[in-house]
Amino acid sequence: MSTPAIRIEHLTKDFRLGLRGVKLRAVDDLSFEVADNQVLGLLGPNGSGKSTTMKVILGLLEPTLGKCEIFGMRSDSVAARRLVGYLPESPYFYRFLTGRELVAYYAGICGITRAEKPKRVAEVLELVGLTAAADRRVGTYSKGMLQRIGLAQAIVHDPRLVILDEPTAGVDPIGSQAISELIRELKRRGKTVLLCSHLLAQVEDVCDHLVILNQGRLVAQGPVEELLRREDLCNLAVENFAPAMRAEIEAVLARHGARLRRVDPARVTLDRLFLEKVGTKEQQDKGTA
Amino acid sequence: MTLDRTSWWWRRGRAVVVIFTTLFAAGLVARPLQEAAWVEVKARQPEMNVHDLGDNIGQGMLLGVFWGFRTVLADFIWLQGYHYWEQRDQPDLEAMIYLSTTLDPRMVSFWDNGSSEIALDIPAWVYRNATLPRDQQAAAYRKARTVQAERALSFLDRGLAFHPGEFILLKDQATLYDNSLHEVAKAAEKWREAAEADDSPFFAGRLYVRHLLKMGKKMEAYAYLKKIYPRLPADAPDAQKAVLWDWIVGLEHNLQVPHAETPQLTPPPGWTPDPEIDDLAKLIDVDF
Amino acid sequence: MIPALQHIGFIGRLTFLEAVRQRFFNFLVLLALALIGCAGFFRQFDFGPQELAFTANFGLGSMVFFGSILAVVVTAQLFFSELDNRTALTLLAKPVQRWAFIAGKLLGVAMLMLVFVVLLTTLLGAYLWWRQGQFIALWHLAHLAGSVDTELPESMRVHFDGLAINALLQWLKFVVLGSITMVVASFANTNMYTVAVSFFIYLICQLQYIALEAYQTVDSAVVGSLVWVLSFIFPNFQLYSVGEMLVFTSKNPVPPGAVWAAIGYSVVYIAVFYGLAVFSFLSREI
Repeated sequence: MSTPAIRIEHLTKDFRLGLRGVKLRAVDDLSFEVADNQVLGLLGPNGSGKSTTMKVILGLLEPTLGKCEIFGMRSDSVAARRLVGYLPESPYFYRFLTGRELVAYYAGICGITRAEKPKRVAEVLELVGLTAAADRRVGTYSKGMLQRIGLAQAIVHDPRLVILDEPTAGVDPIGSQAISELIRELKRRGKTVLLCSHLLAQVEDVCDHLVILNQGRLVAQGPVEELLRREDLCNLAVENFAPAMRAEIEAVLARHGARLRRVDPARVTLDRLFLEKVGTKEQQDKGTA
Repeated sequence: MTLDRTSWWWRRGRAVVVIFTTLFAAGLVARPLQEAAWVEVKARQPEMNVHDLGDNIGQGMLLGVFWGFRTVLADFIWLQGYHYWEQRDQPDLEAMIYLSTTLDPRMVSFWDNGSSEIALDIPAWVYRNATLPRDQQAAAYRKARTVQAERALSFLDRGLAFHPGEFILLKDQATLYDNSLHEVAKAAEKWREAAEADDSPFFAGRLYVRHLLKMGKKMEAYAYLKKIYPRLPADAPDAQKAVLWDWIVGLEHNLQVPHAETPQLTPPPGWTPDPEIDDLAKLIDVDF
Repeated sequence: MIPALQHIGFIGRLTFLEAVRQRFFNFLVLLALALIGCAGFFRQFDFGPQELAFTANFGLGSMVFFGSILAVVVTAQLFFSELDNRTALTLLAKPVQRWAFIAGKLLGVAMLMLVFVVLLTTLLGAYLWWRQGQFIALWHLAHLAGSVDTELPESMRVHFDGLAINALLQWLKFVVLGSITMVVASFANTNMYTVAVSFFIYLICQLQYIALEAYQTVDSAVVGSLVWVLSFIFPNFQLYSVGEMLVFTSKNPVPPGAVWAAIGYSVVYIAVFYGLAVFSFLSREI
């Protein structure tokens, strides 16, 4: 069994506020694991401890109690941070650098040699779809482009674990779809992804596992399918349904001890409708898949 | 009672102790370096007493002084003085002169130009004061020249405390005694000091001799000429060796002392006696 | 160790690039250059050869004045912009040690102040060189005419090597001041607080020489001890007030040993303040 990408054991983090030292417990006895090559969604309302948990994972905060490991190494060690790529929420980068220079800067920081750098930078820019805009200053980038360049800097050094904090905040549905596709691509390439987002539809779409926090505590965790499944109900999709069939169907179901609860017209999601109307053919094909 | 090591007081207190202890230790380690440098710097920095600044310096400027911008402030204040000079505002002009020299006493030109403004420009404003009746202007001017000359002399004394033996300032004092106060003896003393200053021009010695003769001290003048003559360079026209040899010979005739020619006291090559050599007054151009 | 040095280099270079684009820096540099450029205006006043001393004082003083402001304000701004924009988060989430981050920021500030000092010193030196040439020529003519006894005296001539040494000392002073600001920034919450406290510490350092001597003359043993301790805690910034002494010969020039001692003193304090900034920043929660 491979080492989990993230192992958090009894993590507690308190913040002292003001001179009187009022304690704010941001995370309370949290324990969970993220397996290698998993896409984990970290969810919770504002103030639930998501950001604090992420900062502990990134080694930016010290736990009050408990521990956090990344691939078996302490999360605050430099060696662990070599394996991590991080996209912050609402990323801000140095406006005077071009996209290429920015990614090259972070590539250098992460230890990519001068010889490898141009190739590696070009690869990630291609992956995030910013090759055309690579030589423009970051200050001229749109919100979506900033998210993508943020993603590029996060993965330029080929980390094993990628942590994304609200990667699609403020991004249009097309851009959001592109980022979802990128996340899937990262998984295909064997990466582990920790995704923190308020866009639940997207989380549901791309994540394998979920951890839900509330007031610093773990309230639910597990595979997405398991958490969302309702044991007592199932959905049927019926073509050419006529109201007259209803009585017959109810009778069949009653014979087997089941009951028809509801008949609703099938709907497409708003995301799919939007992509159909405004997306490229490729995006539409992916959206309808 | 257990110590709460996560409390704000503990964390900040620990940080304060560590910082101050480290800085104290650094101060100990760096003390020899500081002393080696400071001894030399301090010896060359003019002392300044904050009280000397008086009320003329605003709080902002005082802060500027404490923050190490003394010399820049002194320059600005000096320039500001020109504004008051144009306005013929004596109190403010003098205040700026005193303030700038207090802040930066190293600028000889501040003392030199300042003394001229105090001693010469301000009395001239009195003279040109149209509100005075014409018959009183001359008297007011003479009085102002005397008063201002005294003030300028005190001012230059302060300057000389920072620049002991500075020729320019001694020359200024001598000139004031000569032209404003007409005190020959004091002027003579200042010309003597000026002549002995480093880098002083040759004429200072000659002026001292003239003053001695004005006071009737011919023997002293003669002894002084014999003292300085050997030190004069032969190849410097400004030294006027031939002129000084004329004076020596002229004084010997006047005093009826034997001619003193020694290996050090010889006439310059090609010297011929001045036709006026027996008329001391005309020879040295002194009014006995 | 080598990756850490590379990190310091990367961060230092980027900090420098960010700093030279700041409007505040450009404004101050232009202002300082303009003030030095105004030196030509001094020809209206009849200072004689002392005009060179007046101009040098003015130029060196401008450099100290604007340089001090720059060292404090830019250091604080560069530090807090990283925190406020959360680029510090992105950077520290990489395999970068916190001490390397602080070292990189300080390196960037040092490079910025070096550019500032070199620019101003070069302009001032060029002007003084040109103007001195004019005075030398005028004095020579006057000497030939017999109006003055000698050529332009040494005491009135500019020593350009002294100007360069002074530039080095002022640069070191600005780096010390920048590292003091970094210490304050490492635990402060706001830019404004950092700037205010740093200027206050600067003032104390300018007056440290008073504590150095005062403790011997204070009556109260308690106050005297406190003053004695204070004289060790803060560096003595008056050591750097040597511009005029170096640039113009006096009968008593500053010996090289004193200059080397001042350089060593600066290096000690830069290292100490850097260490304290790291110590404080290590426990800072980003």
